[in-house]
Amino acid sequence: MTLPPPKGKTPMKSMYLAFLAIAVIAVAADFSLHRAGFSIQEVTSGPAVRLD
Amino acid sequence: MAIITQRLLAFIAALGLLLLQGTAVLAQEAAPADPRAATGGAQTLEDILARQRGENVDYTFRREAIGDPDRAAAMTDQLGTLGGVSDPELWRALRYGSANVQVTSRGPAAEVVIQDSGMTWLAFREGPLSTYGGYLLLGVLGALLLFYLVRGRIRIDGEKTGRTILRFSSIERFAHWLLAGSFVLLGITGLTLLFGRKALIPLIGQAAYSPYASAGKWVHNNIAWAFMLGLVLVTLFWLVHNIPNRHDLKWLAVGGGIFSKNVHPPAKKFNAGQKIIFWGVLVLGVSISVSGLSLLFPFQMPLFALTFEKLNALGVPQILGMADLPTTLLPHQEMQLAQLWHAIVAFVFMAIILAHIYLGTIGMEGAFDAMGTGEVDEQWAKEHHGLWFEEVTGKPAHDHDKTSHPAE
Repeated sequence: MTLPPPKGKTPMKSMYLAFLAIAVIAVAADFSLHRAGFSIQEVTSGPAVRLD
Repeated sequence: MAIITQRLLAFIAALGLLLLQGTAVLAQEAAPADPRAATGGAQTLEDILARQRGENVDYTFRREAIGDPDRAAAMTDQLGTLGGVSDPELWRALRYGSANVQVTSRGPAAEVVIQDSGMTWLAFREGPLSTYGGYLLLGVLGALLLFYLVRGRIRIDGEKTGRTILRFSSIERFAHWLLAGSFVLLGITGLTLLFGRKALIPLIGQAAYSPYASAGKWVHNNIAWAFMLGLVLVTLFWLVHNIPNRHDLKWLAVGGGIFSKNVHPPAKKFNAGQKIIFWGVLVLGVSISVSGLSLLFPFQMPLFALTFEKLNALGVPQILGMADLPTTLLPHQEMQLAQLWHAIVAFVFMAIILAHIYLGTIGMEGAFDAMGTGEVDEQWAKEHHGLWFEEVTGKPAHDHDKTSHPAE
């Protein structure tokens, strides 16, 4: 049995916000690392290699 | 007369042969003959058979037989164009990673043409790692089930007051769930990637597993950052509260009250059990993050040659009765070791967290509130964290010297 949330507060708000933050961080990390040239394609290929 | 002469000569010849053989035997006894003399230094049938029997064969004789350009024949001589290195010697140099390979692709891995440690990695990954790792997690789950059946849910012994106090602030709970949520996703995706071929493909088929594995890899790679951020935040918020103190010994002496009712040793914000979990999460979390970064940026962060060098210098292998650890590793070997270490740490981490999740949810009444709403019943606080209750409220927590409770 769990306690009811304090009045005026959303139960487990911090947890939901953290889960949302996880998703946002993941998408942002993927996007920014690709933009910064950290894709495996960019890191390991050279001018003499055509992958696309 | 001629016959006698012929027989005499034959006798002398036979005697000579015997003497020569004897000298050869003596020479053999004096210095062991090269076992590969018959093959001119190349591997023998015995080497091949020993390898097939799975024995360790010292391949120094092959590793070092890579020719010598300094002793090359003149260009005008026969075989001069080889430059002192025959084709087999060149292949041996490629095989053992000593050839001077130049590539236009970037990255150290591109310079490795042949590496054979992949099979050792694969055999360990599919063998002991999966087997013992799986047994560990199943064993912990079984032990928790048994504990639940024997002990039942750890109830609040006293009457609940209906009054609550704030146990964890919203930012603390945010940090906890950032770490916890990402850990659960990392654990699930990591396990499915490790056991995918064995367990999931037979269950759902390759066509369904393929997109799942791709998505799992994306999730695993990118959610790692939230995990690392959560680890940093949790450390900042709780490190000071997890420094061991004298109350921890008292708490440990009675097993935290896990195994008996109405036993509540004193504890501040975190009890000894929680401190063990905290330090376990911190040490394992840092280790898994470092090996994870090494895997996220392939071949950019080699860790193990350097670590082995330090361990050798400290004499750790000698203490364990082992030979020195290798300090020269191919880029691929670094990645293989990083993956195995990452998985080993992950299994230990998951085993600890399973116990933490159990005590924080169904294992202990009122524990989830601390991380759910952040508010806990005063009675719960008195029983589980009596000293902390007194610090926060200024009220006595009753005879907390006789009481305590386990880590949630």
